[in-house]
Amino acid sequence: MIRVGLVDDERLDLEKMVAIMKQIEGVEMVFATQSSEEAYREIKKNEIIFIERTGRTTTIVTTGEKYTTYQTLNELEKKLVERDFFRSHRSFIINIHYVKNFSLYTKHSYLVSFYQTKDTAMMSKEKMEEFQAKYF
Amino acid sequence: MLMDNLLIGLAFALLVSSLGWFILQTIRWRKRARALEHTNRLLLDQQIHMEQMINEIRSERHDFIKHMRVIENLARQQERGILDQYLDELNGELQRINVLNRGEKAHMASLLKHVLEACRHDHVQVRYELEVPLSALPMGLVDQTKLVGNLLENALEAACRYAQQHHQAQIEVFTSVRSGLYLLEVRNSTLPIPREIVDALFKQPVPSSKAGSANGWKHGIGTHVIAETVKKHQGTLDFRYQFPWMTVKVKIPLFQSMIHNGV
Repeated sequence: MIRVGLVDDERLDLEKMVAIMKQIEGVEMVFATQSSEEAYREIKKNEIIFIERTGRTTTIVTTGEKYTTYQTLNELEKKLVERDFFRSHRSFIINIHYVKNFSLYTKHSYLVSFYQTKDTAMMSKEKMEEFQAKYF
Repeated sequence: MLMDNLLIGLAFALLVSSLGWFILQTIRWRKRARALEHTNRLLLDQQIHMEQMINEIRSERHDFIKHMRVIENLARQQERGILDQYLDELNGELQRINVLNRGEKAHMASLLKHVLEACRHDHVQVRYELEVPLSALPMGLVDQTKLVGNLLENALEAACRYAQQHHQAQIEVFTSVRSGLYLLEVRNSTLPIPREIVDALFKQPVPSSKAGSANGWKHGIGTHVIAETVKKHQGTLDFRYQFPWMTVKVKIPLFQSMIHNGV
């Protein structure tokens, strides 16, 4: 007799697996590295402080180390759909939970300082208004 | 002849435009004068509140030795029940001022105390949930007074009017810092507000709702001053009116150059 479909126990296992995979997708971000040793790398999203695009390289600043990738900010932004991430400038995506304070950079932009790193990001004046309207 | 007409026309146009410019400038300066007069009144009021608070703290210090003697006597006489009651009452009195002083500078502590006492007098309940002191608002002391003073004054006025009709009212003040933004929220009971007033709130001076007020603009200018102060510090202001509640939420970015102690 050929069995079609799944019995209850198997369905339960599959559902569990899908749930776990979804959880992994939600918690971690996979990106293409520039290293020849490993093509892809996973990092926890909640450890990302900000991401910066400089020239043809993107730098991911985390609480531990910095990673580089050729992937564009738009590509990475699609993987960071959580509310925690905000496109503060055309060259920056920031994790709002690490934002410490701001300082005036130019007439139309601010520097963003973070907890756990001395590196800074930028936020345009229009984005500052959007940031305040969107959060809290 | 044609030249003469052209010159007269030109002179007339110049005169009209000068007059228009003069009227616009007058309106602008009148508005500014009102805002300055309002701020001046707030600062003078605050000075009075600060002096009252200093006197109260002085009298507390003055009474300290007397309280110590009473406690000593009660302990000697082994009047445990009365001693406990006395200590509870004394602790309550001290806490009343201490809560307001926690992390606050004198100008904000005295303002909070003034609101608390005015509310007690008018049967309005007050709840302060200040995760960060109001004195840590990222702006100068005068602007802090302009912003918080006007917000609390408006809330107090509205809540008192509500309490007169409903015998109870509430004011709640919340502060916190999240992601580089200072968040200040003031929520108060209010009587129904006409739609045209709600639409104009924080956009332009609105007429005062204070009954019998001869110089209504003095009160209506408060919301305008709040909006201007928030704008000056690159912040945003949002309000929600849903009878019987009015909630005003202010967000001010924490700029390194303006960060004071306490954040």
